[in-house]
Amino acid sequence: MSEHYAGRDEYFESVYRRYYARVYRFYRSLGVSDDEAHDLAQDAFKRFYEQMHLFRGGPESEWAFLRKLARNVMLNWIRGRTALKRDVKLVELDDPDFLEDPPAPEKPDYAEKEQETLRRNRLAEALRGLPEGQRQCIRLWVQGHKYNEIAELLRISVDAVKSRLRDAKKYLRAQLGEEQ
Amino acid sequence: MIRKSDWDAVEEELMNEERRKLGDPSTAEEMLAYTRGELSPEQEERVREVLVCRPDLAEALTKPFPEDDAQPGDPGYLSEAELDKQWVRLQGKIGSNVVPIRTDYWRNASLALAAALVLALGGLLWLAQARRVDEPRVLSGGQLLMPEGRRGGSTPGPVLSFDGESQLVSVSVIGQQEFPAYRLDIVNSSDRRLWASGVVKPRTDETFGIMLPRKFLKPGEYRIVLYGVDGERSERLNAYGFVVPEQP
Repeated sequence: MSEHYAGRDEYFESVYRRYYARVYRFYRSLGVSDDEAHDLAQDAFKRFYEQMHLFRGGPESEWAFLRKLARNVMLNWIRGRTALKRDVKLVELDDPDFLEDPPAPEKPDYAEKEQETLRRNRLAEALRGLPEGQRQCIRLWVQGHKYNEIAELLRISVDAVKSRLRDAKKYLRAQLGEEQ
Repeated sequence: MIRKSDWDAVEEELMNEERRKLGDPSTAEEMLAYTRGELSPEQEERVREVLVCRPDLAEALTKPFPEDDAQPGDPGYLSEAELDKQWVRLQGKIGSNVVPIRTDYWRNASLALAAALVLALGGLLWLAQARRVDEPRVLSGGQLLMPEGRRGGSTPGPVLSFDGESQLVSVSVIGQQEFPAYRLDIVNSSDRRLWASGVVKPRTDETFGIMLPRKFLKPGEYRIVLYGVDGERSERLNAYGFVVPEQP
């Protein structure tokens, strides 16, 4: 804990007042509901309280320490939610739609459906044919990540990301027979 | 030609396939060890695969934290009251009897001394102010703001001529739809709310007087937005523009 502060509890409240709203907004920006964002922020600050004796340094490193804890809480929450989804049977017996037949699908255009299946099979096959590193880069790029984010996620340089993407696109164009 | 929908469908299929293959997502500790380069090459590769097929984890790992606090009106803004409420809740969770800073200042002798000085100076200032308030004073420069649509064109409204450190402006509700009560917001040129009055009733001359401290508003264009309030219902009635000039 910083030696600038005389008391542990006073210090903790000052950290809470300075950063709680930012931590809460971080969770909201990840699409977490209002109530859950408060729950997660509370967990992050609880951990900070329990671990603040480990912390040494000024306000910059204090915020870095808290950010790490808050991110940790988020990652564990996602993991917990995934496990819950897998374990819990998701049939709601009270759901009024449960006993009703689903609406009849629209009449399919078989020719279009066939073309679509062919395109998708070719794309899946082409993606599977890419070297692992290139495949990871192109998929993260298609998911909307920027070069620097892909570099951070895969722990490679931004130049490596650009080069892998260039090679992946070239390969895919050749495989899919597209000009662009 | 491959379409975006094809990419999405193939991506979803690959993700499901890989999630089944990889099992549980990595733990937070594993992920952080990965970012620090502390995992074996095999473990590292597994985390990479997890990140590619779990966009929620990838986003949680890369999303930047907001660096600034939100202002009133911003999405995700937390009021002091909300912060106090969450603080009480947090204290319950950590089982602490953390005494709020504000009531605990006095333990520190140097702070007490500083506070005593502030009180003495504050008292002197208050006395000086009280003498001025005791005497009659002419409030000159009060400005009546006209609602949009009556000023003509798209002029931003009058430039306020500050009478010292503040300026009195009047907003009239005459000619507006009648409501049991009203609310007034001050918004900037980006329509961001900077201040809200709460629910208020007009004076007997059907106007609201608002004293604007100069320090509250930077030079620029602003509007006072008038809302009619009837129980839970609130309706925007009109807006009254004005300009805060640069300080001379």
